[in-house]
Amino acid sequence: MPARKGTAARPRDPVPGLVDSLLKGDKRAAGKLISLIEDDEPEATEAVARIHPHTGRAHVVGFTGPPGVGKSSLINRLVRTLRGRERKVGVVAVDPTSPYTGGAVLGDRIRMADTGVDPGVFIRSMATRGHAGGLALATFDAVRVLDALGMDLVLVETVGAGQSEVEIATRAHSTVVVEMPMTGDAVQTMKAGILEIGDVYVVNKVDLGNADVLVANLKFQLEARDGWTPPIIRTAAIEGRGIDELADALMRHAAFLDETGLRKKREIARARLEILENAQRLLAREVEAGSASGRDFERMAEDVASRRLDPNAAARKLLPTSSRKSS
Amino acid sequence: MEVIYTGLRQTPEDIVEAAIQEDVDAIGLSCLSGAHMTLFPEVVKLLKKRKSGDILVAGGGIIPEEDIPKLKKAGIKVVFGPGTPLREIVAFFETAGEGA
Ligand SMILES: Nc1nc2c(ncn2[C@@H]2O[C@H](COP(=O)(O)OP(=O)(O)OP(=O)(O)O)[C@@H](O)[C@H]2O)c(=O)[nH]1
Ligand SMILES: [Mg+2]
Repeated sequence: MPARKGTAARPRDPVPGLVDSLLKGDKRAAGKLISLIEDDEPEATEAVARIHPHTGRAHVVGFTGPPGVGKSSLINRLVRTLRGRERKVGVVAVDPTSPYTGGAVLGDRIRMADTGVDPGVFIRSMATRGHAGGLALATFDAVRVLDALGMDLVLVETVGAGQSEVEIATRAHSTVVVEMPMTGDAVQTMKAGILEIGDVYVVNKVDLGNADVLVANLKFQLEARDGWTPPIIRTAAIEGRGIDELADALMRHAAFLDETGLRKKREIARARLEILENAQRLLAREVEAGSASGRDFERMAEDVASRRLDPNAAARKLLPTSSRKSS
Repeated sequence: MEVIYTGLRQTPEDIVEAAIQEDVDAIGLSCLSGAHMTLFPEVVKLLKKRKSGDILVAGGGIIPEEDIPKLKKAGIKVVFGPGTPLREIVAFFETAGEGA
């Protein structure tokens, strides 16, 4: 039962050496670099800057769906199938940190442990604790590390709560939405917006029956987007049923993105997001308590609270002079 | 603190691989089968081989008193026998994280 502390308990290795090792395929270096990113250490900025030019090869697949629907089980099976097709596979699993203790038991790994010591597999769990720049940013920086490590595909599992689905869909190349049939009298409900974000829909746990209604429902509601009609795949992750079809669907979507030039479009959409997020993070750091601009920031906050200044005017004062025109 | 639970019946190779990918500070091993004298030192040996000897290894489970010194000599930092108060184990990992 390995344990990881959120603080720099062990001495950190210098970033340039770690990145060199990463590019040679060293898993230990990959693990350490992801820790820098996860802990939001100052070195993470340098690490990402050095890694970024060596990325762009991996196909990134996001998985989303309600808790317990079988995302980890599916990924475990899919990793094995993709390995059978000679693809190297990285996995980043995001687990919610307990809001009460600040700790977490990251259990996704249990259902992914089948692939053990296979050198073509790298699985990393990430906790959701305190990310100044947003969780999605840190998660996809970890994806960068696995991309640079030489993984052909990187699968990202997140909790299907809040806005995380949309966050994934705008960053991944392919988004897989996982649902499962309801049993008994329960009414099948789907989260609003879920029909717009998936490139592939999975109906898992078909072994429990009742899948036809959900599949028909999805088929009726799903529409083609940008010339792609999302396929609906029936799976039973515990038995390994439907996994080949899922792998095929993902390969088809990857080819579709290349043929249509949509891959590039998605990369640019993600870049836009990431630039804005980084700008926000830089601004937040700039006005941290203690610094000169931090004191100005405090003064502005008081001015806004006492109605001497409005929030938009205050925000403009934070930006470089060239962009201070009113908006 | 985060704990990554890898599940039951993992081989020493699996455990070391998971520890490296997750970049952990410590590994807690539990063994009830009596094979601890081979399994625990094997984990320490594999860690060293992977240049990861800085990861702390702790053991627990059904371990006879007389085995403990031998395990410590093999690089197991601490061994918690049956009935060790949970508080003691938590305290160990908390201070280990800071001191290492
Ligand atoms: N009957 C049946 N059970 C399944 C299937 N797939 C997964 N399960 C079970 O559903 C439970 C949850 O599976 P996970 O893979 O952990 O689900 P998850 O979506 O990753 O869950 P969270 O990470 O907690 O959101 C486990 O007990 C699995 O064994 C399936 O195809 N059929
Ligand atoms: Mg899971």
